[in-house]
Amino acid sequence: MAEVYLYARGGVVPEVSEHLVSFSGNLTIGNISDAHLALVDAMGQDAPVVVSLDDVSEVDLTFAQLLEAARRTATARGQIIRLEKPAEGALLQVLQRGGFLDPDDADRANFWFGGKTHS
Amino acid sequence: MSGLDPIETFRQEAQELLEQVEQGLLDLAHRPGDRDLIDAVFRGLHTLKGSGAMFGFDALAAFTHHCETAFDRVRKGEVPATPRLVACVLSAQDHMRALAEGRPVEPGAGEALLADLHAAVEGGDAPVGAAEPAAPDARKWKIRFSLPADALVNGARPLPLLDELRDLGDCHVRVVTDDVPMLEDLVPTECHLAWEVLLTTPHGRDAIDDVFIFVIDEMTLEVEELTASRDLDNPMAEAAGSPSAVKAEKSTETAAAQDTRAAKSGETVRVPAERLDEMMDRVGELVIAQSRLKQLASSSLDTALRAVAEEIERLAAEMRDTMMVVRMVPVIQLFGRFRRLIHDLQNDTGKKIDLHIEGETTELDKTVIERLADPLVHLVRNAADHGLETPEQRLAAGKPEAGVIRLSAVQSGAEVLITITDDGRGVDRDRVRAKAEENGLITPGQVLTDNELLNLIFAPGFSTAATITNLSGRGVGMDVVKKTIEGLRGSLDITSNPGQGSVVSLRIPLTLAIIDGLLIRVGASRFVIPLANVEECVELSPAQDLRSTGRSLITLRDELVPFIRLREQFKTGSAPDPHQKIVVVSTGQDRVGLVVDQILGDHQTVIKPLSGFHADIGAFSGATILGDGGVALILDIPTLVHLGQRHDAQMRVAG
Repeated sequence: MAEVYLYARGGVVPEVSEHLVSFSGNLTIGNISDAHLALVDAMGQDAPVVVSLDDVSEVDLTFAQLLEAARRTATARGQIIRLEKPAEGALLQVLQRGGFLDPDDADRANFWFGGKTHS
Repeated sequence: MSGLDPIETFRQEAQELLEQVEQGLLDLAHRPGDRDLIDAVFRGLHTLKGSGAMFGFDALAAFTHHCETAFDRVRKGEVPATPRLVACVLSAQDHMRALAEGRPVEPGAGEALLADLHAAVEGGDAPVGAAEPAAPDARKWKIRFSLPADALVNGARPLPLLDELRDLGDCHVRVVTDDVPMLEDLVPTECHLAWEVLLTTPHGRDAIDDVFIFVIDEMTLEVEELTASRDLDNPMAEAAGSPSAVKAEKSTETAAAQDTRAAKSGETVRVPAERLDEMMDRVGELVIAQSRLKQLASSSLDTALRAVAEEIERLAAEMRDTMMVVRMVPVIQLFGRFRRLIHDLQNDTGKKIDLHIEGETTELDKTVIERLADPLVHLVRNAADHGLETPEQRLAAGKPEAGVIRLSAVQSGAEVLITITDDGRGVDRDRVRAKAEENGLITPGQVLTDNELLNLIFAPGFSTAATITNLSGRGVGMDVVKKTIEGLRGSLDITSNPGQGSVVSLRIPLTLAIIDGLLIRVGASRFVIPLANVEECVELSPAQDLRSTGRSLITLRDELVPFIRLREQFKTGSAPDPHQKIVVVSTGQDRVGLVVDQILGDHQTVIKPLSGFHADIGAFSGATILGDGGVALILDIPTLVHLGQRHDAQMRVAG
């Protein structure tokens, strides 16, 4: 079961603090709706969002699609969302198999490697 | 379609020629030096080219010309018929078939095939003609696919598909996320991803299609071949650019083609299948009218009328038999295609497989043959995939390296028995049981006869493949096979010896249009039971009837047989006759008794399909018109047997 913590902390950006969304456990089609709610909630705060995936053990395509939706939404609205660390482990495997890291889409690949979205 | 359309005539001829050439090529793969085979293949290609040019199939003629030239050189002993050359011409066959049928072909596919062919003829050396392009080892494809939104919820898994594409060759995968909605609007379990794949593979289009074979119905798939820019004077252009080469030969070709056709038309006339169906209908009506006449005549004292009625009865019966034979085609039409399938399967599985075909002259109704094709393909694939072991395993088990799959057909009475035998590892009963328990088909520890256990393989959703391959094992198929066979009013059965292989036998009625039936009465209505399913008829005495209330079982030769009271089943609301009968019917191994009020006798039945409105009433498979003009419904035995067995099982559980 995925546990989601959501708390503000003093970020590197001086004027706004960042919101950290931490995901852990299995993030697959069975419980992806919880992750969706957490992300929608985080994006609703008027602050840059940082996604932490440290304790994620299993992910599937729905999770990759979910973060992709968050990234595109942020780009469209000029918000910032980024991964705390470049994708690794199970998520990295899904991204590689699913063709998410194709260099043709530089913004997308960049995001997964830990870059920010820019307005 | 008119039977005289020259284009259609050519297509049918092309079909035959291509089949002939294909068989020749497959034989050549085993006997590379056989002169007669080489000649036969050459002649087939030669005739195809000539007729193609005559009927305006210029692309086909030009393309075939190259294959023919290649085989001409084999014929003259300049180059050997290497397996590679045979494989090239086989692939070229598929292309010719597409051209002959007027299907759209991938641009550049022809050139690629010809380049392969050329390389094969030259044995990989530099081509002689400077204009000929070098052989590309692999072709480049662009594949786009997307799944419906609910695909992931329904169990579709795109990642393994992508992995399979990667297995085919050098593969560049890019996900397309343009359709992913805004985060708030996203339903996270839906799939809004699409993929673009650039694939460079030595395999053909079929290999790509095979990857998507089980999801193809619900997805959008676009496959296009990206052809490398070729020289303008490629073989096709050259052939098209200099039609004189083709034309010069046309006159002799045409003569040859006409000769063969003239020779043929003396022996056979092509008739569109629809006309045969119409005739079959008329014959059916005639049989019905004749039986009414017979009834009238039998109650008349007019001897002349009775004589005529008898005469017409004889003629109608002969007419029916003749008509049946007209629609019959030898099963070689069906079995012939399996040689190619086995050839492809050997490449796909890395197993060595020998195919033995027996009884190919046995005849079956054309419609039956067409509907048997898919189930048989599935059974043969299964035998190759699950039944046969790898060469190493076989040698370790002390068997010859090559596995044998035997297809045989033999007629017995009004049925044809088709068996698919393999000498592989046999069915692993423990795994079947484990799998069935896992899928909830049986309860753990349930006592089953060996036959019941083996037949679980045909239960819906059952699949024992531990690893999913392209060929089988995705849990689709065997239940569909069973359904299709039962739809043909046939039955299917499997026997298997561990370590020695398995035999799947299909019993298929010769024809779908007319059956011998047993006419029975239940209450005031009459029904027909297909005679092929009837095992015996026994009396149900009133005492027995009373005794067995609540437990519908009767003992027949020390075996308990469940029975169904059709009076209750059809709610006739009538009192039972004092002398009820039980008609024992069977499908395969299962037996059920049907309690009827009266047995009226045997009746030749012309089957009329039920209207769409009644089609889903499970217990009836059709209707027929009786001699007195009344209608009788034909009972669908597999459904009733299943019902009886289920009822029996419930009784056992409740008891």
